[in-house]
Amino acid sequence: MRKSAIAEWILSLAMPPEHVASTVGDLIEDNRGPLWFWTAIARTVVAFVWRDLAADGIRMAGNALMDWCVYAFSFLAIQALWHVPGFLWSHSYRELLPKLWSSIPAYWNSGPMFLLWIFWFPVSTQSRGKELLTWLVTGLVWISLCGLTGVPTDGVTVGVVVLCLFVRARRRFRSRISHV
Amino acid sequence: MQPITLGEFEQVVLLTILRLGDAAYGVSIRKEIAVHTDREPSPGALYTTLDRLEERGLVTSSLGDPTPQRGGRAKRFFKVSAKGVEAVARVQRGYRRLLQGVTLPGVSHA
Repeated sequence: MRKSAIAEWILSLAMPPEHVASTVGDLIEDNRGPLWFWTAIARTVVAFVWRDLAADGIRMAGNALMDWCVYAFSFLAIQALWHVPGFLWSHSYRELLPKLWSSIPAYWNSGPMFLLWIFWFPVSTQSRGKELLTWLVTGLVWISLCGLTGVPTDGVTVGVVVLCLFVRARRRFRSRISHV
Repeated sequence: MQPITLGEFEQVVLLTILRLGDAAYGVSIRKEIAVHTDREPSPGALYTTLDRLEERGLVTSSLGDPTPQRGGRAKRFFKVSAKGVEAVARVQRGYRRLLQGVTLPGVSHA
């Protein structure tokens, strides 16, 4: 995938889709080197998310919190489906709740699953195989990083989770406005 | 009806688009602002401001033709709407009224 296509995809997370291509075109035309280009992309995404956060922070935070709850319960349900049958086969059901409770810290190390989940809906509705492929690759890279080096640490994972929550909350916030 | 309020940077952007006429798009707007105000706005600040101004109906935009030096991407040209012209003129009239009779020490003409 070319750098301009990646840049367009990153900007599409935060900007109105109809403005993305022309913005990337402006940054290409400026031609100030790759560092400036990618810094400009990152700053533009942050500026758009920050603008909506400042405009309606409570609603954005509410959306983010709701997404987090859905994610947490989904993760717990998947954990339960995965572990419960085998566990009940060899243990008493009284031991089940503490076992599930003890798996909660694993949320923090579930970056790839979270990323795939959080972007699955917009990707599937847009039917863009390119985006889906990007997120699958992102997930695989994340898993490899965790397995091989022990990083990302909890702090990095929490940072990514919070950023994703707000990017998603922003999308919902913007789409709600555009339908008003 | 409440008068439209404009932030300082919003006024700068509107005046720059008016100066540039038919040639106002992202790159030219940033360059023009840098030339006339001695500060170069970050792309993030400029695009969020343009987006907000468009949402408020103060500017309109249209796509030009794709060009090779932009990786085949079209320019988005901006124009100040009648509502935008009115808003910026009203704010500027206010500044002029405030400046009348004020002496700025060390400044030959305001």
